[in-house]
Amino acid sequence: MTSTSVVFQILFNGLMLGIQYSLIAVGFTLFFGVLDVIHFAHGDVFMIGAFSSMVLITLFRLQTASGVSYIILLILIFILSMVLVGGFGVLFERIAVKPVSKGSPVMSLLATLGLGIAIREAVRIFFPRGSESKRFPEILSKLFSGKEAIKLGGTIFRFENLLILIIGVIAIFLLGLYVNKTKMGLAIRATAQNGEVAEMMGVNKNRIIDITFFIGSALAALAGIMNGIYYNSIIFDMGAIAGVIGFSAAVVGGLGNIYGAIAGGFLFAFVESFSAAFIPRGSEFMDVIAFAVVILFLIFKPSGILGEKVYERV
Amino acid sequence: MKKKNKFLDILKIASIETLIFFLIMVFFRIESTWILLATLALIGGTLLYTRIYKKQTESIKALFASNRSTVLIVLVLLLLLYPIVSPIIIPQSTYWTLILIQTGIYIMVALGLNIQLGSTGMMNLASAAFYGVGAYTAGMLALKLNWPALITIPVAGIAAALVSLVLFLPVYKTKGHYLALVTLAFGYMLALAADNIEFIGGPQGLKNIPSINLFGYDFLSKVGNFHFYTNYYYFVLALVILTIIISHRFFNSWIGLTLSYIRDDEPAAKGCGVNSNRWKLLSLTTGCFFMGVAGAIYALMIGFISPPNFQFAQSLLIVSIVIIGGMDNILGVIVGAIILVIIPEKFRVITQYRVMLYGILIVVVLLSRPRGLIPFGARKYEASVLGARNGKEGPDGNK
Repeated sequence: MTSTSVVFQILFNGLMLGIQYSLIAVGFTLFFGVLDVIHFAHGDVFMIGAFSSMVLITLFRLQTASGVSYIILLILIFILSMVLVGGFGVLFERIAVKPVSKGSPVMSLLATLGLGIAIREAVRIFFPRGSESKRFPEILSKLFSGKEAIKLGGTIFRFENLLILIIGVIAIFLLGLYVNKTKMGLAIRATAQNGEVAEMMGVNKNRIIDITFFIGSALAALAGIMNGIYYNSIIFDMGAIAGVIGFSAAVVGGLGNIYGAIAGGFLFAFVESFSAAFIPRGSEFMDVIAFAVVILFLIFKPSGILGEKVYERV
Repeated sequence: MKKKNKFLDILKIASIETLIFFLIMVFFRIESTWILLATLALIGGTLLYTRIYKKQTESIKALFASNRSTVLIVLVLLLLLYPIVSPIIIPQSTYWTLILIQTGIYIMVALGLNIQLGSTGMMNLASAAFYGVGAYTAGMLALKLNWPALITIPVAGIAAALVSLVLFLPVYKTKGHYLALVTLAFGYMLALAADNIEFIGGPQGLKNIPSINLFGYDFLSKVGNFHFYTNYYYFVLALVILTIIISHRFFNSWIGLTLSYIRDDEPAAKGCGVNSNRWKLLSLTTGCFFMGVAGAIYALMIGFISPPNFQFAQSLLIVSIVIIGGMDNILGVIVGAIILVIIPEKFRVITQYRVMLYGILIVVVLLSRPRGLIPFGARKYEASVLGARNGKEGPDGNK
């Protein structure tokens, strides 16, 4: 392989990871906007997304379907698992996130950490053979069974990965449209800017919080399905590190800013994939390097890439 | 007349504490699964008693509150007696002694975290990592350089404090969520480093760390009928008491007051001339010193350490001890350690669900009692100052 093709491969891997990280980070930043909390169980919501889609795949007997019905079932599974996990997200928000959001940051952080542990362990215990890593069915490769992968200067781009990338980009695009062009999106932005004033202007804050958690969790579920397809395997504690990465990406991008979260997600992914490729024993240390980048950001630009500078009010 | 009353009080306190002590012994001894129900019934019964007989409860409370020193002396005496009494009552006492020692170690770590999280309000999600720094320092010094084990303990504490200083110096100004993220990253980084650096054993960890040896007397040697860990039991007990005394003095001094001021309102504290950066660093390094010391004792006693002992799950356990017990409250931290370390050991039935129950417990406690089971009270400076004026008690006589 030539060096350019290596770089292409790394860039592509970075894009694949980045789209997943961005979808998780967007959730963190949305929740921080409306409730001022860090929802640490969000990584586990992402894990639930992967598991629930796997359950739905076996439930709908997707593997036996073919042709048009296969595509319809596939789309149905994507939508259903997103809706299901969105519902879970709202449930978790009602149980453990909103009630503690008025306390100190430490409290909300611990409550959501505890919630995340409870979710993770519940999956491990109650899912059949939950502590082993599960093989995620290759649901997309059937669509492209006859076709060769695209080769570009020695780099191989698999069709299913390209499709994941496109779905992710569409999801982010739709989110951008929703937040910027609809009335609900306006209400979300208003709540994020100043909850009290938004309430005075007739925004039903509790409803906005529910909607935000629904959207954020559904996007995390999408990221979970993508992760399953990309790595072909899922495990109950995949959400722990994903949550930390998503949070880091949101912070690097600037908490509260959706585009910042996306930028942060891609930055984190590129740092990881480049350090895995170019630094000796990089794959073992890639998380360390990525976290070091996060810490550097917190030291030199604590407001993130796109965040506003916040002054402490007394 | 008055003297006789005092004697009666002491007798009452001693008998109540001895009764509780023996109940705990019995709790350790019984192996059946019914113990879960029995304990719950006992705790429920006690709570019911305190609700119905309010007057008696109040009088017992007052008795304990007015004779603090007696209460503590009897407690320490009972704890000193434990290794002598336990082999008679409990067949598997070695195991329980080990659990008690581990509880002591966790109390030390949690008290260290309490200075950071409880007093200063600085989140540290890497406490297990600093505990690990202490353990690895002691292990390496004792194993590779053949240092006497006893000297490695303070050195390990200093090493943990230095590492924390180096790590926190660039980032200690961050707060809230950001500090949590930074310390979380520290924890991951230190655990990954321990896993990947061959010099300190890599994933295999360190084996055969020599135990404490005082003038040719090995701490792990068996003396007479006592069990294996008796020496360590007394050693850890002494260190825990020392840590509690230091924490208590810290809390009651103007340093503790300054730290709480920073926690409650940093801009106001700055406005009053408090150099908050300096105090934050002091609180971080002091806390990490305790963690390092505790880690060193663990390494020397068990003789084997490896990276999985010092990961995020452990940090979370330590944070839960502080949160569930009650922040900025020494008694709360001790109660939290007992709840989260001893009780799960007894209920082996729920081992599988243990971590999940931790998670649920954290959420439930934070929702129902956001300030912990035993929340911190206001410092009673006024009372003690008044007491000093009347010549009754010194400035640190009571909390």
